[in-house]
Amino acid sequence: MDRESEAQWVRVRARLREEVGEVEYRSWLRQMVLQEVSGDEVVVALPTRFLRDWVNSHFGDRLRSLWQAENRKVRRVAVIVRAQGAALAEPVDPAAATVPGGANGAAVPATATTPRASAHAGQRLGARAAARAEEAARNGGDPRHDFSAPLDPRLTFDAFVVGKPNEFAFACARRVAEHGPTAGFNPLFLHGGVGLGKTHLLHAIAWRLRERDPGKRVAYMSAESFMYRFIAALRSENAMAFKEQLRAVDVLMVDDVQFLIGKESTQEEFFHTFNALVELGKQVVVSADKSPADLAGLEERLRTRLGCGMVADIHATTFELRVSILQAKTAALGTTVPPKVLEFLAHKITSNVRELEGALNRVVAHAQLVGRPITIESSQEVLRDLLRAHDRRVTIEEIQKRVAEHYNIRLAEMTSARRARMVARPRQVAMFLAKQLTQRSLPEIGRKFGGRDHTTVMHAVSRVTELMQSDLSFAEDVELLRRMLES
Amino acid sequence: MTAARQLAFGFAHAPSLAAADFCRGAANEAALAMIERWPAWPARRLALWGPDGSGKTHLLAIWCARSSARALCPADLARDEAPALIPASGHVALDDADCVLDEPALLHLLNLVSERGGSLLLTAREAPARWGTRLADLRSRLRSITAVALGPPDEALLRAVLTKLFADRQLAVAPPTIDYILRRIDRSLAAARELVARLDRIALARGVQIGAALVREALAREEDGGGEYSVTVSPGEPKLL
Repeated sequence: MDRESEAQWVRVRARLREEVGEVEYRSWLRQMVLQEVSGDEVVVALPTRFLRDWVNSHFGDRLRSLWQAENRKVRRVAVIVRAQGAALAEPVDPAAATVPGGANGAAVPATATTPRASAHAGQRLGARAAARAEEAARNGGDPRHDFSAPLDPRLTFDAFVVGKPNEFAFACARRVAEHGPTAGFNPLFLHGGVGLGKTHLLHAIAWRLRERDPGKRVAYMSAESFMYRFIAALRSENAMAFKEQLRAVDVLMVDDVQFLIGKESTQEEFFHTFNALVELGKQVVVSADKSPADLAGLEERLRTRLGCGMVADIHATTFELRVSILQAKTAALGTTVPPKVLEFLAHKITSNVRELEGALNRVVAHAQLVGRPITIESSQEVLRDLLRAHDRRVTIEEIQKRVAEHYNIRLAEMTSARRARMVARPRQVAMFLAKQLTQRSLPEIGRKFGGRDHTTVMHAVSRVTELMQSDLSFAEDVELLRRMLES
Repeated sequence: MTAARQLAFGFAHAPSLAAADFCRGAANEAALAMIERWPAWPARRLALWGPDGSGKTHLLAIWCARSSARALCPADLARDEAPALIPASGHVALDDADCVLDEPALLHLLNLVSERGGSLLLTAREAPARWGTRLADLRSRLRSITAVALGPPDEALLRAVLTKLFADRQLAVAPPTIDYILRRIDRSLAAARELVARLDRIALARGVQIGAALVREALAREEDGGGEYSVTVSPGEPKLL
């Protein structure tokens, strides 16, 4: 292929990226490869049939006009499926560079609507979240939402931090929220490990749908509450009313359907509801911890139906995404946390977003309680139950060993009767630390130091306390020992 | 021959769980501050953890009184389904939450309390992150809860607790005796509670005042292997002999 075509392709992609926004671009368009330019036809390849169809129907026209702006000869852009094995490695994306100045300067409207958790979005969030909180409070009073569990005002698209692991699921959720069943994703099935944001996306879809069309009956519920309601309806012989209510909604969202496993009659009811709604052209959104194919224990026909729309997964977080989430969350809390601490948290709490946010909440709450700045050390202490499987219990023997090493005396001197200063002082330090770091009684500590009386231990404690006040380097020494023993 | 001894009835004494009777100290400062901060708990959930006798149940009672929360124990979860357990206030406190065996039941309780906009307080001996939870959905929720430890008491707190424990049993004990005890027991609230219970039984059986001599005897008995005073009846199981 000639150099000119390559350069034109780079510009086409950059403009497209600018028009559709980062998330859409990465979800659908990034994998496009320019196959050839011959005469009036440009051939662009994508790895799957689904992507080909999607790009053709949603971006085909834009691709053609952008190409025509670069090369007036182009009449057609053909999107094809790339042959297996071709370009296995992801192509380096030239559009990642800054937009090169177009040769003919065609003005492209900047319509990037990427909903990122930007600082700007954060500012607007306050007022909107308040409005939503109000709505959530009124939820019970609004008959349209009677059937839905209340939505969390914090769980919106604006507040969702997008990164590589979740951008596809985000794009799908966004599309359903904007277009409903006409998006062609019915049902939308979101799956991923626990605490990665499935519930967040479901709530965000519901908020957006209600915002766009307040007349829509959007019902969100967890699979458990679906089950509880169904069972309650059966018990009160109200099953028919329950079914009718369910089938009257415009959008049904059920969270964590894996909890229907083993609940045969509830599954059956869910299956019929599901079919009825989809047939009526109502949107259904479902989440689970596994893909439909992997939900062993769910009825085969239900699994098949769940998987026949759009299935999008959320992958485990990356370090970069975790840092972005922590930054967004910190801003939302209206506080500041040193970047080093955020990196420490992103490095240590890798399991999922829920735990990451929980950890940040704890660190911030603690700092506010004690009125001290947040440091890595204080975070380690506050989160010690998360970071370590057990608390370390310091023993008197360990203290004796460490102190003896530190002052370079024999361990036997800890229990010996010698009263020379060079051994007596370290022994007193060890007794002091034993009193501070263990819960042992004074008589017990005395016994461990060669059968000394508890009054000897008391004397050691007060002597060391005095010395620490008058002798700064001695105090530092003791403090160092304490930290070593506690870590 | 054996001397005639007064038999002690094991009247279960009722420790005061009123907010005014809570002994503050460095060990429970953070936990108490979090209780006082309610409803501003992150995600409306809080877990308090610490050893026996560190004040978890007392803090739980303080919060329940203030929030109209319903206090549950693990047995309640085995008996009823989550929707039947949540009171009108929406708030729930679960004592000994690490003893719940039915993990899905606990998960549903957590979810349903949140769904109804309620707050949840859990107490346990260990931090929720360390319960060895098998159900992944529950584990990640437990690990994300703001968990505050009740640490071992310092001397001032232990002194206050000893004074309160004696007062709960309507025992007059002189400050020097309390100092005497403080110098001789482990720095733990459970140790204080056990010793006070033992002293109460011996003093009651003999009809004597609690002083240094009695403390020495009670501590010696503990060292002999924790042997109970021979004729006493353990508290909580009153028996007419």
